[in-house]
Amino acid sequence: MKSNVTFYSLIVCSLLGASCQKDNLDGPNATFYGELRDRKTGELIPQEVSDGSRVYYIEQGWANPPVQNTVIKSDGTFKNGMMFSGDYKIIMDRGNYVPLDTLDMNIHKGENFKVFEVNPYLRILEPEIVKKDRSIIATFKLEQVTSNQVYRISLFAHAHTDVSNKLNIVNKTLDLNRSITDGETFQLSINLDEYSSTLVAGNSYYFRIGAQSQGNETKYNYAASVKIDL
Amino acid sequence: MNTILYRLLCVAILSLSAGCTKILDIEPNDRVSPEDLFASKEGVEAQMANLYGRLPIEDFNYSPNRGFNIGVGNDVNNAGFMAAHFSDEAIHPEYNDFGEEWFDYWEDGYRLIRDINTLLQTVPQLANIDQAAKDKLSAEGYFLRAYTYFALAKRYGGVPLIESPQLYDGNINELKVPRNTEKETWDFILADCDRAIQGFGDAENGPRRADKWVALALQSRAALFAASIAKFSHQPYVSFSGPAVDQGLVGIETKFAETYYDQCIAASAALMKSGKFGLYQAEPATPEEAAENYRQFFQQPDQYLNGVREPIFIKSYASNTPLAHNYDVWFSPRQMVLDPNLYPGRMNPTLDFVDAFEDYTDDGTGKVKPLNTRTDGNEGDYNGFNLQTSYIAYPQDAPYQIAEGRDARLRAMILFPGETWNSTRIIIQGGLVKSNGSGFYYRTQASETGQDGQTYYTYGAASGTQYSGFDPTLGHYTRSGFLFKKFMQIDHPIEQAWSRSTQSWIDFRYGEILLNYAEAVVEKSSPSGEENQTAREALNSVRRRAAHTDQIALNQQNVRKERFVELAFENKRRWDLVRWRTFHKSFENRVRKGLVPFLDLRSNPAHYIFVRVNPLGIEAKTFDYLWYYKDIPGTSANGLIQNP
Repeated sequence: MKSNVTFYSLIVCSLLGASCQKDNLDGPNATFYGELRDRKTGELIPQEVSDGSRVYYIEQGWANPPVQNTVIKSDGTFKNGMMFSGDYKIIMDRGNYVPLDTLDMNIHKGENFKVFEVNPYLRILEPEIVKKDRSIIATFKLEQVTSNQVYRISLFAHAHTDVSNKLNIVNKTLDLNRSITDGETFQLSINLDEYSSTLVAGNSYYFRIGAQSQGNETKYNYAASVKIDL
Repeated sequence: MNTILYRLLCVAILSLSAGCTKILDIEPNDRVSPEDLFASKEGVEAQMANLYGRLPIEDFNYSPNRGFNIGVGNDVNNAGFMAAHFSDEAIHPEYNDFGEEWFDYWEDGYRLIRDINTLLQTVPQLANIDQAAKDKLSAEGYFLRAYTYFALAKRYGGVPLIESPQLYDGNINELKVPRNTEKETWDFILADCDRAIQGFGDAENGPRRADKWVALALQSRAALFAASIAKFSHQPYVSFSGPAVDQGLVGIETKFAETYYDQCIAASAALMKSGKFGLYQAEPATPEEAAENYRQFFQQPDQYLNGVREPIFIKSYASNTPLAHNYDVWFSPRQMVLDPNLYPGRMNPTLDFVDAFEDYTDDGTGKVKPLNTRTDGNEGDYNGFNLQTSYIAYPQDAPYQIAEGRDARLRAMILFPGETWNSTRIIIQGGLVKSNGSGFYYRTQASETGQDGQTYYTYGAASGTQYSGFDPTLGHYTRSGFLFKKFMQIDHPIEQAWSRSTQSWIDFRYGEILLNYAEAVVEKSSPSGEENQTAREALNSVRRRAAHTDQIALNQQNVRKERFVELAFENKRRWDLVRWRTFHKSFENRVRKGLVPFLDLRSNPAHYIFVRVNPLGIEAKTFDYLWYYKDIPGTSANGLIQNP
């Protein structure tokens, strides 16, 4: 009797094993990585650390395929190591740059590297952030790349180097809502006395200049963040 | 032995299958046919109660993290999250949840629509009721369907419009109906309202069931929503991209805004001219009287349903059943709820909200008057307590005087530190300044001897059951410095236990209709002189009920502010921010604020001061513009075009 039980359970187990093999699908076999670069300067385009630009893509060959996406990291690079090889439509929009036309791309097995050259909505030129007396003063110029007006300019502060519109403890924003003239200089400042509990003397903080263009689904463009000891 | 058993088994199976050959023709015993159901008055009542019960009403049992009718078929414990926590009205002392709704209202919505469509199909064929009764039932069906599609449209934009129950004949693809445009969806909702209004006639059926007036109220609200989508879903407000936009499944062309505003005006005007509705206690003599009227009205709305009434449509509850609610458990002060299995104090109105009220200067400008905390008048400092800052002193026994002279509704909705709840003095205190001025405590329990020789504590008392604010343990204590009074059973306390609250929810009331009218007139491009006049009167009559005596101008800012303060905590605010498309701009890395009462021992007797803060543990919140339209669930199976 006991041997019977063992025998039957062996059969059941082997059946279970057999049926599982057919259900197994091949896992992701491709890596898609690359960079978002300024078409004019060739530099990587920095991104918001959360809710920044993304690479959107749709895998072809399925009924009702969903739009998938990969976040572009704060330094302007992206990498998805869990892609399936195949034909894709790549959509580059909803970012801090002028959207590209939808691109057909074959992702093959193994590594796929792609540089997207784009025009950022705004370029922040000659950024300078200094501490003067009890103020942090940011000075910069802007290059307006499209005919869209400049929506707003900002100076952000946070303890983390990825300080930005969605990650800051102090936010000095000026709504412009106008086009700018060439060579126009902008200045934003934070009075440290107004933020004695958030920007504590003796600590270091990162400060960063950002600017956002008007238009459909734009995001902030950023200069590099600057570390300042208070 | 075994063979015999097997044979017997085979015979048994064969005989069973033989008896079952006509299984598909048998009338199931657990179902009732429409004819039988509608044969009796009780059957009709039961089916209508079922449909009304499933209606997506955003009432006391609606929670943005759980859905509708919490407690029905699931756990009543939703952590005390209400729509107010997902807006600028309140913060939660325990969790930081925020954002778009966490649930999909999709399958439940279409299930309800299917049952309503079945009702609409069945009613004309019924033999045993007269034509008038049929018309009324059909009208209710149209109302219920409009209400349900409204709940879908405001979440998803354009949705598949299904007007009759679908039949499955083996072809699954015939059941897949593509999305209609957002404009078609709103037009359908408004047309269903019209069908309901026509069908009802003038007979009153409210306020717990729909009639002409309830349908008009729904039309007023829905038309205003549609108009706002048309007007504000474009730059410079917000815009979207993608296939759903290209095909008009989300967004409406700006030019249609006018029509919708006009529909809102017409529906609201019909209610305003009906003579059946009015504001409760429209002309109080004093702000104190106004505050008490307003509080009583929401505490027991059922008592104010006679004659010219303010509630147009209400939902009632039954104690100790899944059809009760739990506002009194969740939102009473800690001092009133000591049962360790209950979780009080979860509604902490924000300082942002408290600062949004007028005082009684009433100089015709309608400008808001933030609370006064400092002698230098700098009310923009959220750095916390500073020994050098000169704060305004409030009496030790009456710190609530900080709210003195403010709009009556503020005192009616918000519990301020030191006020009484029934007969208990509610202590809300978060800090203590040492009597020698050498330092202070903030949100750590400590004791200090005052200049009068008595012992004082950071939170106002020694034990955690004796105060209601700021203690970080348990999450029972307010973090904003305010507690909640609107709707609460203060005068007639109920048993503090789950599912005991039964005060009715007012879904539509006259005050909202007046403000709908005012908003539609403000936003439409060229209102007539008469419309302007009526709208201004509507806006100011709402203020008059709160004991204001001046007439403020009719403009967007005044109307939006009035909606904020008058309709607060009625689960309207989130949708106002959504349809104005201002949510993503007002919530961009935003910390909702609090106000901490400190007992200052530097004087004798001691006095209270108030310190503006970013409340501890309250995170900055962002509303993503892509949340204006929720993702449609299951698009890979149902083939619908996804939202942006």
